[in-house]
Amino acid sequence: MGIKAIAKARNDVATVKLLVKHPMTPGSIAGGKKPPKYITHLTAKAGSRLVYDMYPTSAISKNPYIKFAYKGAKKGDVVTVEWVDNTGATEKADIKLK
Amino acid sequence: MERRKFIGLGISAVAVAAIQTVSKADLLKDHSKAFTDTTTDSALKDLYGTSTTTKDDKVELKVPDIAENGAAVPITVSTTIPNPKTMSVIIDGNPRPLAVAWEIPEGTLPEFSTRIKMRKTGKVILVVEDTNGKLYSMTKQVKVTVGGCGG
Repeated sequence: MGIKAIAKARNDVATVKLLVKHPMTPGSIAGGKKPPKYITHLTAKAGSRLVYDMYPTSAISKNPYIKFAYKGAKKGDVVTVEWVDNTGATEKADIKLK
Repeated sequence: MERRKFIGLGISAVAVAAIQTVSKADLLKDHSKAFTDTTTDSALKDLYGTSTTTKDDKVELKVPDIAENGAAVPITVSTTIPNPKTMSVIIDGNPRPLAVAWEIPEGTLPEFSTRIKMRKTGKVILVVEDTNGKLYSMTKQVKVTVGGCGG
């Protein structure tokens, strides 16, 4: 597991690019033998404010790449990225805007 | 000794409660069936209550015309429709067509990029729902050379 990020704030707008390490296995959903394992919810918060709210499925590629942007950001702000998968596993990472 | 065990138990219970917050969102809780539906029509109905959408040029779907690798097809979705509330991507040829959905928080730009898996050549549909519940869509045909739903 691991969340890599490039995140910056320019002219009030934050642009966040993430690479989330996760197998995103469809397994039996696509006729395979493995049990499915994929992220079902990924959020990003700037302080208490929700800035990204994604519901992936096993149709999102392995090690998901995710890009989004939001207004009202400045350098040094911290964005907290958090996900949960269908097996109940979770991960959380704090990212500082450059 | 017994008392310490009990305290330990309390701490793990708190940790579980904290983890729950991320999964408690409306879209998945209220429309979870849509994510397991096996046809585009039923996925749309279970997500939005109807499968009727209006095609609109203000809904922008960027996907390649030909995807050499169906396991990682780059996609960018965006819209200039006022007050967008949710967006969803439906891949007609996949075992479960609803591939991804987003709630759009206020202040977040309605433009998202990611990579999707496509099992075979077929339609990719982007649906945008505004705060009045109106549904707008854009459809693109993507040719897949090597399918990417195995594993």
